[in-house]
Amino acid sequence: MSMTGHRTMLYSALLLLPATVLLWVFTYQPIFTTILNSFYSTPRGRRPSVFVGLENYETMIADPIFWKAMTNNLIYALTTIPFSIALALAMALLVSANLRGKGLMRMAFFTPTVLPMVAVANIWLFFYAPDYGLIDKFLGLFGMGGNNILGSVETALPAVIAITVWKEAGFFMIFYLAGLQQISPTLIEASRLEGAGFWQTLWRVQIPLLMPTTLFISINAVIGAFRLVDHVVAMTKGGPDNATTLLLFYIYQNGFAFWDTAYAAALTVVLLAILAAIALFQFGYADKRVHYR
Amino acid sequence: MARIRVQNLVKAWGDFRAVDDIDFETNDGEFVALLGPSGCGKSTTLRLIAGLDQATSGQIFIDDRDVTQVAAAKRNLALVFQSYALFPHLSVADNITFGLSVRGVPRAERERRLEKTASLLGVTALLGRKPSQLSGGQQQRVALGRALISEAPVCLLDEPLSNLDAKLRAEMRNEIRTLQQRLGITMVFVTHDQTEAMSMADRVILMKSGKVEQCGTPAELYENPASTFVAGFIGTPPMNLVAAAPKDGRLAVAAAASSDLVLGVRPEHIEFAGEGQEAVVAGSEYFGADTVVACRIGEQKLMVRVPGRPGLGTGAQVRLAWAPSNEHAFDARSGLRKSA
Ligand SMILES: Nc1ncnc2c1ncn2[C@@H]1O[C@H](COP(=O)(O)OP(=O)(O)O)[C@@H](O)[C@H]1O
Ligand SMILES: [Mg+2]
Repeated sequence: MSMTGHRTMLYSALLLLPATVLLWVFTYQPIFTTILNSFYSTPRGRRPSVFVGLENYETMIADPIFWKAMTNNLIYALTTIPFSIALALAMALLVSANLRGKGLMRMAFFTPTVLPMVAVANIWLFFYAPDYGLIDKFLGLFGMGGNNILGSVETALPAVIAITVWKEAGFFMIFYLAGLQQISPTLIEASRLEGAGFWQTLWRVQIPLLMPTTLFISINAVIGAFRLVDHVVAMTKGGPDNATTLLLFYIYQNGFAFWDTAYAAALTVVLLAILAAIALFQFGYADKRVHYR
Repeated sequence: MARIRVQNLVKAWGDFRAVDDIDFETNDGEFVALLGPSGCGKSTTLRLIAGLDQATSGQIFIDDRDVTQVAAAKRNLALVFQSYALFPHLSVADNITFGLSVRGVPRAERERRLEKTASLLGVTALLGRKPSQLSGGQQQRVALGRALISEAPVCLLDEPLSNLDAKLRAEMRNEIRTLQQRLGITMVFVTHDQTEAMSMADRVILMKSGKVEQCGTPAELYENPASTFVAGFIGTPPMNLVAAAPKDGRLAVAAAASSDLVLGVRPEHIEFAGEGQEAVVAGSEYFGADTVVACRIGEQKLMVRVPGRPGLGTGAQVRLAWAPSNEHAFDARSGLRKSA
């Protein structure tokens, strides 16, 4: 190789170095450590950690709270995702239509997104509070008051789900708005002229053409469903009776409340595997199916 | 089959009138060209007829039914968009049958009509493809197919040939005209190309700044232009329009470029003769079958179209003559034709 060739190589390597170091220190190295730790026991007092093989994973399989967290997370994902996507699309269609005051609506729909989740949780704590809370007061008008929404096993998870949908939909709306702007207005006109009404145009033209956006949003929504726990921490702490324990919250509990770091590491590996599978699905399969050009 | 009548039609955006009080009427099964320079309101007029835009005032009738307030889908007409507006996610077959499927036409009927339309337009081999896999000309055919399969008595086309290359355009011109006659439908065809309008249409509506300048058969527009605008728009090259002065009961080209009288005479109607007005050759363009010679009389310029190659060099002295019947007089101020 010539001198300039060597020099170019050297420059490229030097330019890549900072990014590589950061990526290694803050992303890959923690992942490897976590995977490694999941095969060791938690160090306690003077007992150092020892290699235990799959013991942490065996504990996990036998752990009813782990399964409860997985089930909760599944329910949480399967409800928040479709509801927030449908709501986002509806809001995007509403504010992209030629209506009066659409700027104001746009802002109103987007506001929940810019609020920090903990602030959102505090607002909703007030809505959900028994007796003086907004919702219970309203139900009280019909003689159905006295509900502790966040305190009952049946309503706690749906209440948490409602907050997530409320917060996420505004964010996803922005992507749908951008997606709708990509669709040529003549296509909508052509569809209308051919006799398709609002719903037919939506179903036959707009939704198919928005598929790339929908895929992008749903990947984000799935990932969000596994990594958003601020509101659980702020509102229910996983209770009552683990009714709102999500996977990430359970990891947090094990790692930082019970200090069982090895078990938390094993749980983290499971979470990482789930997220990796989703990402692979996106890039490998779905990406090819939803783009038309 | 269907007549379109437009009455006092106005479309305004704020103070600007894109369509400014126009009236016209088409006959059954007529091929009408809406002609005019870019921005004169052709597309807007077409969109008003189609029902994609709401008229500011005036009325639109289709077969004596007032459709001014009727939704586009209920006007029983088809439209070919300038950009084709094919649905990128649907196959050619699904694009063509979109309207039928939306309107709930049974599958068997849909298939039958698709087969008929596809073979009419020669796109049978393309039915499984997506629009992105088609050439411009093929996309054009598919767009035409989507319009024709509805069997609507009225078909509106907005500059359907403007995205095609010259050879394909000439082919499609012929084909669209043949299809229209075969199906007996009324077609309104928007174009800014006067050759297209003259060669295809039964009637030409020439627009200027939102108004109808002249409406008539191609021959009427050619032989009796109502104004200097029409005279200057029709023909290649267009009619010579020069300042004129009366002389011996006829018109002569004035040496100065200003006069209140304008003489119009077509380049192909002028000949080099032994008698006539003296002129100097200023240049020439050879087209094979004929040559367009630019001549100068004083400060004024005239084009002369002669067959073959006249072999006149720049600076040659010639005499120009034309028959009295080919002479057109216009008022210089209003641009309107002076009745003889
Ligand atoms: N939506 C609109 N808002 C404002 N002006 C418009 C709109 N659509 C068209 N115009 C104006 O109306 C005039 C006529 O447009 P158009 O009918 O598209 O012309 P063309 O004869 O080239 O098809 C143009 O000057 C154009 O700028
Ligand atoms: Mg136009």
